[in-house]
Amino acid sequence: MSPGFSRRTFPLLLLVSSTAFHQRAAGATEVNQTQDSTQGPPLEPVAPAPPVAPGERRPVPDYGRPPPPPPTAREAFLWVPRTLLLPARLTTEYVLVRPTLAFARWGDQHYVFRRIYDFLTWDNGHSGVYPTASFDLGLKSTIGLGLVEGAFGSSNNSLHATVSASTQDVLAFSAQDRLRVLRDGTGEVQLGGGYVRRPDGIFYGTGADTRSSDKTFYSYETRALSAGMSGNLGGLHRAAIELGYRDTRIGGSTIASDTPSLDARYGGAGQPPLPAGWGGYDLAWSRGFLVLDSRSPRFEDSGSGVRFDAGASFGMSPRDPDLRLLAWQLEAGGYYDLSGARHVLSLQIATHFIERIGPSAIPFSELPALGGQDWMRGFLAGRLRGNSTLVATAEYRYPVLALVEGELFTALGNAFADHLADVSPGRFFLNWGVGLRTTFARDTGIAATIAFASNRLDDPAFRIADATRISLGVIHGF
Amino acid sequence: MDSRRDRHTIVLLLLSLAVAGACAGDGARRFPLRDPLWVDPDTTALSAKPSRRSASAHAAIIESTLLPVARTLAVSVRRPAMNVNSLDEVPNSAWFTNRIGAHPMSPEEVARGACGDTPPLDPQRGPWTIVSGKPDGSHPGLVIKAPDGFRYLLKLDGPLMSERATAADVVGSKIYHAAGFFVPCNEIVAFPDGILELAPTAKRKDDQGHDLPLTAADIQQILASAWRTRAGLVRASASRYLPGEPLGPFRYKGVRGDDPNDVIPHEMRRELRGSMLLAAWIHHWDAQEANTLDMLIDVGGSRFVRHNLLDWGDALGDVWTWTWTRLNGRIGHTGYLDLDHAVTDLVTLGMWPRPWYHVAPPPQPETFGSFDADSLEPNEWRGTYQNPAFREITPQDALWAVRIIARFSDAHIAAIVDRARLEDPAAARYLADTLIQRRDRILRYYLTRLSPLDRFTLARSEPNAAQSICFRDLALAAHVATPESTMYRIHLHGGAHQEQLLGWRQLRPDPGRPSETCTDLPFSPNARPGIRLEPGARDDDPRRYAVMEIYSNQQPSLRATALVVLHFFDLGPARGFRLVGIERPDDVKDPP
Repeated sequence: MSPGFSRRTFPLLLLVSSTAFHQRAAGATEVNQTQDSTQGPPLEPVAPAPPVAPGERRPVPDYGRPPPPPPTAREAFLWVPRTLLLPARLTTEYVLVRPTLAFARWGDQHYVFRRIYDFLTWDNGHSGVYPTASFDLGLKSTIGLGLVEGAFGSSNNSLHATVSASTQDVLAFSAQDRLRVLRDGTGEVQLGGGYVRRPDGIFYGTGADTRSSDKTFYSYETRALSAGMSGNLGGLHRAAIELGYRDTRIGGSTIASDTPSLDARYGGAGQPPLPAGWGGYDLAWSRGFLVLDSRSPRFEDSGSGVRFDAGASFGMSPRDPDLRLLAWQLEAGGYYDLSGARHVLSLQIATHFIERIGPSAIPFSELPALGGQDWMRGFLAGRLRGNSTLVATAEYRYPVLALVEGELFTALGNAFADHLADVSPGRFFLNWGVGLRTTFARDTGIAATIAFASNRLDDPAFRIADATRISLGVIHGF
Repeated sequence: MDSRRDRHTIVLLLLSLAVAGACAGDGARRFPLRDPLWVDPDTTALSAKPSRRSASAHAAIIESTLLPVARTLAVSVRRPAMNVNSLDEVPNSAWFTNRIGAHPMSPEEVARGACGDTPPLDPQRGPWTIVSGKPDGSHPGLVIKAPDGFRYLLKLDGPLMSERATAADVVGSKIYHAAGFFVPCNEIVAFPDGILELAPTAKRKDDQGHDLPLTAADIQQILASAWRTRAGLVRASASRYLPGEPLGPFRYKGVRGDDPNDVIPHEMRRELRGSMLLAAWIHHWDAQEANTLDMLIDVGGSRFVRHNLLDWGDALGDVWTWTWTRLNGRIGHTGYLDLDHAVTDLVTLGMWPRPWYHVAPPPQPETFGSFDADSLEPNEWRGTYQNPAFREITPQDALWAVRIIARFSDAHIAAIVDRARLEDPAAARYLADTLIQRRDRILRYYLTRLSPLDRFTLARSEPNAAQSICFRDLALAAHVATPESTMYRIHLHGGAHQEQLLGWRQLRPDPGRPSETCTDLPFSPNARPGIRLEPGARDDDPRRYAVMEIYSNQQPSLRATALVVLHFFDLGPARGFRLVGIERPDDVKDPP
């Protein structure tokens, strides 16, 4: 302590200071005010700074502040994660961020993105082509193009087409013409066709007793035509009738060394017979469905409501008149918006049936099936096939970004014999997973899903994640 | 095993170095004895003209998504702005000029904005020659050459949201100009169609940047959807072309490589960071590089780059969708692609409470869309794209901007709104009231959490008399705190390491003049640090150094809520104390 402030005088000074509730009016700022204030800079213009030598930059000014205080222990500790994350940071910064930024700026400066958009679209963006892609782990990924011609021949008529392909013999294309037949756009007539050829159809057998080790691949090629009429009955209610024809060829597939072709496990000596429909068939069909959905079509409204979907179809093979079938389905769902801001809990139940009404057996590829993007998403499409299916899905969806939703889901389901004859609680599979999907439109969007599937609940060696499915692509429906 | 041991060794070594660094230094931080820097010499004459660049909308998307990821991996913390002088203020520069508050501005002066005394565009005096146009897009416009010799960009309102866009462009320019930024002169003009004359060489750019002739049909298309006054005149915001040669936008991050004056990374500039609060005030959610413009100007034969802000057409409530939807409730609270919000919502299953989950349409959606006062959360406000400078804002930067906003009185705001020339008196009243309420929300939030004290002056009635240190309490001036619950505790420290407590006192505001407070400095004649110095000691001797901590309480408790630290040199009884530095720490420890 300096000589001026001894231990005896210091407390006295404190006492003097602490008892002085002293203040003076601001009017004391009168004569001889000192120079130091925060009144700001002079109003006169300042002469330009002296020039800097070419190629050099002016020095950073001395703003008159002392150097920052030494780092605290917490700030010093941050160097540990900084060091550990340095490789990731450098990679992100110099491999991803800077090149992407530079490309974005270059592209905007030279109108590259606009030119691509103008090349791919026309009619003020109402028509155009767009890239598509589909990834489903375990199946062949595809890339392709979609086409929308919003005014195909007339303003009430639109054409929608897609083509997709991948290596190893995957090709698909479809086209559909849609004619709006009512002035307010609530009715539509569709005419379309398509072709699909894939080597990765999956078959695990039929019925409730399939196992993951039963997996086989088959190849298929389908040509199809369809025509129909659909109508919007107000809100999300709608109905449709369709008729069509498809010709399917089915054969063996050797796309995977660790998964046999279907005909390597069926049809041989001591093996189960090949499933009905092997080799191919054709089918003329007609279908009708009705959807009653009380939810609001507007995304900004509550997501609560109920939905009921009923449909039936009849099919007959022109080449094999003994092949006749009748299929029907019932789906019901309840949706409750917890917040009114689209935090929606739902429970959906669906059952599908098919009846053989002719002597010939129903081709396996026509049987009701679970798996894929709609029901039992922990399985690939076609994993569970049978004369009837029963599935219940509980789901929670919630907003993540402006036009993106997150979802959690779990489902119980399986395929069974005729009319759910062999249903029992232990004979179900459990699926569960998470995903993200866009909400640009209710019926379609882009979805990314990670889902898991168990083996059957009554399996002594029950595993909650017996199979995994990771998918990214365009989805349809709710 | 050896590699694991090596990794442990490296980590321990790093920790040791860091802790050693944390403990280094004598702990004394002193401001130099010199005048504060009030003019940043960034107007050095350029020997070569900088290149022209264009704005990038896609870069804004990248900056909103990937930059936050890179920042997270860098484990970066917000650092203090670089261009701050010793009094915690921003010097004048080619970016910013201290205006309102530094020098009193009348409401009329504020309302004139960058237009100054130059007469506005006169709709009675034509013809206005159209030299280029922009017929497409959400904000069509025309560039005209007027008889007054200036070029103007006429920006029109569309058929929706009536007069909001043009009003916003004018209001934004006035506020930002008064605050200190370089902006164009924007004024409302209502003109008859017939005053327009199409130049034979008039052009427009298509979406791919190609020049096309601008035709009479294009003009008709623009005017057909323009908002008109009750008298049938076309309403527009006339933005006078800035002087100089345009060089394109500036970026809110990094420096311009071909401008040797540009040596402070833009995200480290206080005025750019602090402009976030101005943006929040007027709901300018599109504050991004596309709405900036560097101009190469010539002053006295010396060419340098001046940095301008422009285009506030999105402010005062523009929306993402034309009918009221939940999407519009997100404006100001989150951006299009805020991944931190998205990840939080994803992980918490949407259960994290968000203001946009329960938002009702504001009172005047047909004109002012999403613009209201109640939904403003000053410290949480965000634009639609992440602004790299806004992300770096510190409490001190925000407080600097708040000190500027506090200087806009109700009369200033009324004069600015008057310039918007809204035909509906109710809309004008709503706009003024909402601007005032939003201002007050900003002031209330920051001035009750950080130090509200400003305008520190040292005064004495005569030489050798005791000095007074006076300050203004902005929270009391703005009525966001009450004198009855406000208390100041002042500690004065001295010595080479400020280890000596030279006195302390407690003050309450004078009920007669609650926002202005003065106290003696020093508290008693002998309680000054330089009293025992030998004659002839240097003025900047560390023993002359004094630090005054002013703790302020705004709640009826003794716990301090804010702190400002003033730094002085004691130059003796004759010359008195000299204020050399001001700090406003946000980490307030209760004084002993």
